[in-house]
Amino acid sequence: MTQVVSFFKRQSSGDSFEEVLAPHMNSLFKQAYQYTGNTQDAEDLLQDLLVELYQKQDKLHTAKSLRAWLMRCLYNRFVDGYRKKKSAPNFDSLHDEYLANKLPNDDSPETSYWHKQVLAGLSLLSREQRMVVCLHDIEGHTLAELSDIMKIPLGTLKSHLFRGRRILQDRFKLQPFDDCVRL
Amino acid sequence: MKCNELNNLIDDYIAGQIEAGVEKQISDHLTVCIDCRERVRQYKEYFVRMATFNAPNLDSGRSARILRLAVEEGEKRIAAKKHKLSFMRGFAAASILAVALLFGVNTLNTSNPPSEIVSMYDWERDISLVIHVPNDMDGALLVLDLPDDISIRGLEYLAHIEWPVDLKKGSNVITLPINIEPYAEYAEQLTLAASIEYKDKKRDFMLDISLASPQTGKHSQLFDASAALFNNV
Ligand SMILES: [Zn+2]
Repeated sequence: MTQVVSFFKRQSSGDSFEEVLAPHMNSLFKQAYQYTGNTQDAEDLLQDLLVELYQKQDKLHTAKSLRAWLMRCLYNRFVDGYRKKKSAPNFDSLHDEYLANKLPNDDSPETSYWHKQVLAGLSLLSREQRMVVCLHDIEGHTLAELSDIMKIPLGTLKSHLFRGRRILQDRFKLQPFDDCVRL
Repeated sequence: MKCNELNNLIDDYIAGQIEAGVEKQISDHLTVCIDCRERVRQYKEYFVRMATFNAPNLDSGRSARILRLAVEEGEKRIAAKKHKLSFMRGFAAASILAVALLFGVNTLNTSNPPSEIVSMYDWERDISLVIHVPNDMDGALLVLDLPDDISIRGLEYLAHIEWPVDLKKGSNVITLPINIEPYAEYAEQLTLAASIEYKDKKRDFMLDISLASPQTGKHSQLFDASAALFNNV
């Protein structure tokens, strides 16, 4: 009980919660979007994570690599807590106004079409496959980095990556307007 | 170059990160192997498509709003925890939650084991088992199997613990000082397998321990449920 009481008395040191996290918000949001497939669920996931982190500020200030720790927390939160609320990504919101304004730079119909196709493909993947495909093939992390960040063995990540890619490739094969981007 | 060798190099080959000699071997193989040619084509296509995927940005206004809400909600939950703690301290020292286990009078069977969720926030925690028994049971054997993420303080090396307890008719509170591994916070639900053996009868039960986000409502419910049991004694 002593520990419990002292936990609440402890003051966070240095920068405020908001100052510490603000620089990481965009990247966490993007990851949350890749995991959940729409902006609303991504915000909810991020919000849930932050409420939890707020109550563990001592860990926030002591984490060795904050960025890696946050990535791991977000992913674990996605895998663990988030599934209790929402089971499948919601693609309707692809059409919502917010996203329409937010889709980045090139908004040619083709890019938007494939953005949607990739999202739909990602929804077929397991959470593990989805994480490694997004962080490796979209965000450009190496498998070694991801193994270190997520504390998941390299071999496990590799097999998730290859299975995930196979599923996506099979799905892409089945899509129309194949010639648009054929090399 | 064999097909599976090429397969292992395909990422680097497409990214153009392969030494010239090996690249030559690959292109030689590709001129003769239609399967690998097709695989390389599919991979290139795959990367082009993945590149079109670009998650939206979070604008600074929304970012600030999410952070502000997190602080507000976090403060509320901390306050709720404090309140809960002071309330409970008055009730049972060192207990954060009570889990009630009901024993039938004559049936120490394993059907319908009671299972409750215990929520915890910290890495060192005392949890209380409240064992409700219909009769005195002197020298009952309490057996615990601990998951990897949880250990008993002072007995960190033991995953299986059993010790005799003298249970009195009514409620018996047993305090377990436990450690939780730091990264268990988001682990799959933790389960503590326990059983009580008394006079050739054995009752198994599972205690689900949730380390997920605090749910104040759940606490009160659970707490009330066990308080109600106490009142019935
Ligand atoms: Zn081949």
